[in-house]
Amino acid sequence: MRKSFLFILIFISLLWSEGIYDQQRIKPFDSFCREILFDFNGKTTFQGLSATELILKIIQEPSSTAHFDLFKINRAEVAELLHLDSKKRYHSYSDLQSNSFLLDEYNERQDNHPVTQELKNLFKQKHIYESLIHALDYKRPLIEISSDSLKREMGLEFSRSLFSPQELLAHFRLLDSASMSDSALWWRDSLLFQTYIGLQESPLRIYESPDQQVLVSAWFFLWQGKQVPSISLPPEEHDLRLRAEIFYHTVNFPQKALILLGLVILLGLISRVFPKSVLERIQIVLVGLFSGMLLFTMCLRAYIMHAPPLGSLYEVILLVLLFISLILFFLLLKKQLISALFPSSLLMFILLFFAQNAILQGDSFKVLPPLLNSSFWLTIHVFTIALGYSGMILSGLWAHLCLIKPSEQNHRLLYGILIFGVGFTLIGILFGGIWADLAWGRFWGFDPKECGALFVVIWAMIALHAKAGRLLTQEGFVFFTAWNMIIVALCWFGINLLNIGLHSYGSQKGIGFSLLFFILVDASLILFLAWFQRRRIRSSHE
Amino acid sequence: MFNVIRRYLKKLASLQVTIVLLAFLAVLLFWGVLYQSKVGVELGAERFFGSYFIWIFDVIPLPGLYSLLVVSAIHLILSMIYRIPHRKKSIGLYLIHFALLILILGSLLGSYWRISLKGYGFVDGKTPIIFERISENYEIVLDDSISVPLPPWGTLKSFQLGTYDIKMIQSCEKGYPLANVENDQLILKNASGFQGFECTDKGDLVLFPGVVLLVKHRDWFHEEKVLLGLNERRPYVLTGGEKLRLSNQREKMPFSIQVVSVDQTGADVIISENGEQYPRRIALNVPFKSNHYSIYFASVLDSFDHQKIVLFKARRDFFDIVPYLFTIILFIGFVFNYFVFRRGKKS
Repeated sequence: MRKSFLFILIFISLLWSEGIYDQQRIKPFDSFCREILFDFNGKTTFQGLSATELILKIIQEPSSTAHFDLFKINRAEVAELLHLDSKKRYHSYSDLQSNSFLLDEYNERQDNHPVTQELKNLFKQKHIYESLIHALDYKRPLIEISSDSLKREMGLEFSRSLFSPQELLAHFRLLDSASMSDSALWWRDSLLFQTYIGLQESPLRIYESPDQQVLVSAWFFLWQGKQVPSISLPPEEHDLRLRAEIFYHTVNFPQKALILLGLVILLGLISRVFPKSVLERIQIVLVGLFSGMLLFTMCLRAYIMHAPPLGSLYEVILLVLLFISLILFFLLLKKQLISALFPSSLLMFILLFFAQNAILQGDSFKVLPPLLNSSFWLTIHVFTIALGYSGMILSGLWAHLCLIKPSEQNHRLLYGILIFGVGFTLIGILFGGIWADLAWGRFWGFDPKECGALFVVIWAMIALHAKAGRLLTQEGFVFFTAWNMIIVALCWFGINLLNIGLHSYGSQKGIGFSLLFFILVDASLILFLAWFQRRRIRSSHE
Repeated sequence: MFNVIRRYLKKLASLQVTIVLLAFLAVLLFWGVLYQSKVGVELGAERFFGSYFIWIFDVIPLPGLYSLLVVSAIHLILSMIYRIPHRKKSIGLYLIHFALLILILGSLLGSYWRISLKGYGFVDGKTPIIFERISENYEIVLDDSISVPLPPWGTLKSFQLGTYDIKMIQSCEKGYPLANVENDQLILKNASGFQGFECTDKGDLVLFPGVVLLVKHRDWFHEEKVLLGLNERRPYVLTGGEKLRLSNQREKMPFSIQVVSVDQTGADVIISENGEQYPRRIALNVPFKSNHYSIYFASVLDSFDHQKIVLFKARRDFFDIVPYLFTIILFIGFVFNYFVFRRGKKS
């Protein structure tokens, strides 16, 4: 009772939200802060402060945060180039500021060397930090202008000596710089500089809602002489979505799902030592809970984005995980695939861990590029292809188990899962073709991602035809199918690494190593299991 | 003799051949995608998936996608005749293989008639978009009505176009326009404001394939020197008011499109078709389709006089129905194979 009350309290406390327009969408201030902090150092909290608390501190008390070691420098040579302590990984704004001219110089370079890229990234982060410390400049005390000649020149009232920056900018807009005196020009440039640093370069693009101020930064619009745009969504609905996003980030359902899977794996290990049916049942319930949690996550994401949650690689991985867990749960309830429970959970754990740590970078709620903006066919295509890939991955996993425990029933199940996987992959490709025809004017264009999906189907077709023609023994078929996970990984993630074609929206940095590691481990495992199976067959014949 | 042929045909219909063809296709896809990452999607697709042979070091031929498709089509026909059992339960398999045959033949035949086009138009709501074929064939066009084909780059010739006698004095694929030319009173500013032209490859500078012509009206003494660039969107206006342009081979569309307004994601246009006019939006994810043509928005750029030029891409494919036909027959085949006759198979 007390726990549920606490939960409600936490939920209510999250209802406080403020909207910020950033990267083409209105997001809660909380998400905005998390993303900035994640950009700085890959974390979402700092020395006990939440991202929101930290960013508010930077905005409100810039001097007290200048010595916070906020910026992560991955390469020692970058720190050396900036004359910083190369043994330290985290550095403060003051550190960066001390040799800021070096950062400016390196930012001009055009090469793609990793060191240059990190320096450029650091330059960008420093600018974001500076834009934050200047974000409230417009609210700073009024500016005093006592010179009458300056007032005359700028058309200001003689009776006053204090003016708001807005007023001054509005007057400057009307003046011709050719006819302005040096002092007036100095005032203008100084103000413009502040505006430029604090607003134009700032990621803060904060809108005013029609009824109340929602953390205002209307400078940009004021300077351009434009009306500050209002939020286009109905305020109540919009508020609820922002609150839902804060709730999503605070509870972090995918992280909780990962913990659930960890529990399933732990129970699986314990049940190896103490085999008890109750442990098995608990594991099945936990897999069911995991599916439910993922389903809720997807629904929540759909509500927050007001679109099907299928627009990024991260979301598609979540969907594939959902399908794998649902298929697994369904088969487990029918008392099938029990022996796959432990390896499937391990595989899902690896995939989700990979998604959370390698794929997820900063803001996971990204607005769909217009090129992909076709909800119906996007949903149908991604849904079916994810179902197909889930089947292909499960068939690969099941083939591993067939290599360990070959039996007629296992082989039949493997064949069934493979047909399911390849069937839905093919349907997904065809639906993708229809979508491409409607959206891009052609059914098929040999885009690398299309070729990748076709490769998965052809791979499975080779196995199926070889089995039908008895060109492969049952063991051979199992061995061939065991490579399915590697094939899907290559065609799904590997193609994204090429970063070409119309589907390159799925490209992510830093997944190359994880992919290579997975391929090497799985390939070694398949070869070992095949060798082991062969040895066993030979010894049984002898 | 007939039996020997039949035996060979049966061998060609075997599952071993299916697997060899699928393996070839898999290798081709893998290699083609790697090649695409090096040279770009379009060029890679053209070389690997739009040709009969891939030439290694320009000497060794390897089968391209079209060769594989031809062999696959023959293999599929023979499989349906010799390999797949002739019984009611095999209807599903027949339909699946027939669907594949339609897809393959449709792709092969379609590739002969399929054309890719590029189009461009100004945002004035009046000038129709001009569509040109993406090919190596160029032409010199007078008043967007009559034209004469351009001889291969570097070749000079004289010809008549309408009421004009035209003599080519320069022609180069790798050219470079000059902003100012002194002591050459004959040349007038061309459409982009250049006054001269030299046949030279300036390395990193943008190439300007173009021709310099001496144009003379048959009834007047006036003669003018004209520079036409291939990438210029505006025509050169002759002293008599006629417009001259160098372009790819133009495509006469069964409709005309005028751009009314444009933003970064698409253009609002008026389409005139069969005597009717109606507004449409052609955007990044909303192509316009009519009479086997698909027209899609590519980009928008500023011309030298700050007028916006809208670029489109287009495609004509008489066989655009084939993938849909394939999908429908394949689905029916699946249903027959895995659902209708499933029970019978088990027994």
